Amino acid sequence: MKKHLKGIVLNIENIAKDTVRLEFSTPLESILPGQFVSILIPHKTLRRPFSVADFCLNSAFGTNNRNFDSILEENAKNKGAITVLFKLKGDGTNYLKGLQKGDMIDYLAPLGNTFTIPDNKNNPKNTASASGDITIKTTDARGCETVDRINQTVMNGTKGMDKDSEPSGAIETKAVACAIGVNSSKKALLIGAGIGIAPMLYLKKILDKKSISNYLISGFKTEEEVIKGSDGVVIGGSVIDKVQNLIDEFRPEILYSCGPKVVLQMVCDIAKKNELRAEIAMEKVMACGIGVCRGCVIKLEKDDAIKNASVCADGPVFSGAEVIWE
Amino acid sequence: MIDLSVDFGKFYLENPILTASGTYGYCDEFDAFLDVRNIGAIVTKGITLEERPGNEGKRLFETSSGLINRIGLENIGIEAFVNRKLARLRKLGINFILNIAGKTEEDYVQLAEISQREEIPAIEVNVSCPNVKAGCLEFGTDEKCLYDLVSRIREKYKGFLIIKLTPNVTNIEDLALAVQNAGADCISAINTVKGLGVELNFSGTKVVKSLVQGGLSGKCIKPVALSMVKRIKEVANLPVIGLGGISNLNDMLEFFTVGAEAIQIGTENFTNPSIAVNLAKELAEFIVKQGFRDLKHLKEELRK
Ligand SMILES: Cc1cc2nc3c(=O)[nH]c(=O)nc-3n(C[C@H](O)[C@H](O)[C@H](O)COP(=O)(O)OP(=O)(O)OC[C@H]3O[C@@H](n4cnc5c(N)ncnc54)[C@H](O)[C@@H]3O)c2cc1C
Ligand SMILES: Cc1cc2nc3c(=O)[nH]c(=O)nc-3n(C[C@H](O)[C@H](O)[C@H](O)COP(=O)(O)O)c2cc1C
Ligand code: FES
Repeated sequence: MKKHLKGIVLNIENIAKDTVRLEFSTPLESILPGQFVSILIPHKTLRRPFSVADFCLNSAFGTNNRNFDSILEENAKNKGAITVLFKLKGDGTNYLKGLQKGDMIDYLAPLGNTFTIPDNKNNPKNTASASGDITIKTTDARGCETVDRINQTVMNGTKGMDKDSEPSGAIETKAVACAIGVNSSKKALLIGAGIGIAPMLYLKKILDKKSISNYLISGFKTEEEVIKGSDGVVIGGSVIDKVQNLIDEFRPEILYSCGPKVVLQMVCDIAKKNELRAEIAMEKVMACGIGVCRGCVIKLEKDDAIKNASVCADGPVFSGAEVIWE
Repeated sequence: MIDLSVDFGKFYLENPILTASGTYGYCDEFDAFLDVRNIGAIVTKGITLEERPGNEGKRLFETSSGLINRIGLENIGIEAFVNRKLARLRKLGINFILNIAGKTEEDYVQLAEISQREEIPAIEVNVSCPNVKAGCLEFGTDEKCLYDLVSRIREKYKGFLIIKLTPNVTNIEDLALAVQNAGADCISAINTVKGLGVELNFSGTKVVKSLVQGGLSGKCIKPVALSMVKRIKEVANLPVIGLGGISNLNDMLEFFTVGAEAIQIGTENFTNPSIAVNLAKELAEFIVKQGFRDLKHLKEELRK
């Protein structure tokens, strides 16, 4: 159920060039991957939507924060934490960048639909241990359970690569597969482009939790903009160039993607060519965020009929095959 | 309990705060955020005879202190409204006003007939629509055309009839009088102000531009709305529902001062979806704190 909520900033940090990670408290007990929050920006008419990049329950957040009388009581119930990642764009994101621990955030959540999660029955190979993924579960300072995978190591490996000899900065996907030691079957291939990695990270966490084997490839313009958490990273070149290889190698059942329109369009084309289902998370400027103003509609083709769909309420996740591109 | 009621005779409001057309849908989403029964009345999204897909391309453009929209009246059509939404509004006991729009006089007349048949207690007529037969000049910009339109609607519809005026005119007084003479019960003002948003992006000498021509709403239009309400009240006896840029208690009091009996919240619902119910509470608290007897007393003092 959508709610109008107030939260407290638990953490805010720069994680890459012009990229900020913001974590705030929430009384919500669950959020689905693909869903987003809509944050109030003082002196702005429109709220700003951001994908949930992580959500965890049982953060140790309590009353030892700065004193905000009116919302403190409400926030004593706030045992969860939502993380968003954002790229600095204009007034809204620059305002958010200036927030500090303990500051208050006014937001609507959870908004939108979710990625569909394939079921992992009938495929015993696809458990984390069988697929050979190395998963290290840790508990962080706030008591949030995080899943750090070996992929961080791979990422660091990429960073160390000689960029001159690899103009696109791309890593050899084969080498990555080797490094992780997978049997090369992955149910889901996740493709993040730029800040589009945000919802992919939360989706990946959920897939991992459900032991659905997956691989996240993401692309960034420059090395300074790389956000951690992928299994493979492309720097400079197009992440799309790697996708066909990954499909051939992992034979995924489904592609998930978030990023600029051009990338999503290409993901849909590749999915079609390979007869795969693609689910893409779209963006549109939003006003209400809940499906009433019809400001964020796109066109879908379903059962031979063309219909409007709101990105905020019917989406943001759509089946790539149905989207009609403007 | 402080008396915040507004009694229009044919239509009764528990409190003077309404939510504006196009910003509250058909009232089936906002109940996630608040108890919509505590709102004076909700005005539905503009409904046309047939379902409409709305405009292609960019529909929203944020401006400093405002918003330009060109939704193009995307709506489910009167039949779907009656079949799918009406029963729910009634079952939940939500006080509502049906907002209607059309391309021809006949469209409006048919919508009025259906409203009468379905015993809809109040309708608000959006006259900021291009009149196809009159070369797409808007119904609400010509007093003769407006008088004819309202008269024909009045013939068919006996409930509480509100005409929503457009501010994109020079002669608002004449239009208000036309509405009054044609037998309407109430005027609401204002609809959005014509505006253009220009977005420019440069890549070296290459310019990528995007122009969004539509209706401006939000905080920035409040002075225009206040002026229109005042000018209407100076010539017409009909009660006026004021709207345009209202976002807090003080804004609402300003509209009461210039003669509005009730107000509508539009764009601010997007910024603060709990506003309508919160404002009703704030108004009651303010009346008590200042020592007024009730809303009527407050309005009297504001208009002295
Ligand atoms: C469902 C959804 C999820 C998103 N998730 C993320 C995310 O996880 N991380 C991230 O960095 N960005 C995300 N965005 C984009 C983000 O909302 C915009 O970057 C942000 O609103 C820019 O605000 P600003 O004031 O800094 O910039 P502005 O100067 O206002 O605008 C810069 C650009 O941002 C876009 N934008 C502005 N207002 C809105 C709005 N109300 N809704 C949608 N787009 C808008 C426009 O394309 C505009 O050209 C998401 C957008 C949507 C619709
Ligand atoms: C997204 C949007 C959609 C609207 N749709 C309608 C409509 O269908 N019918 C109508 O009469 N007015 C419509 N309006 C106008 C509002 O009801 C209101 O008159 C205007 O926005 C001014 O009030 P505000 O500044 O409080 O928003 C719409 C406004 C917005 C922002
Ligand atoms: S933003 Fe209002 S319908 Fe999506």
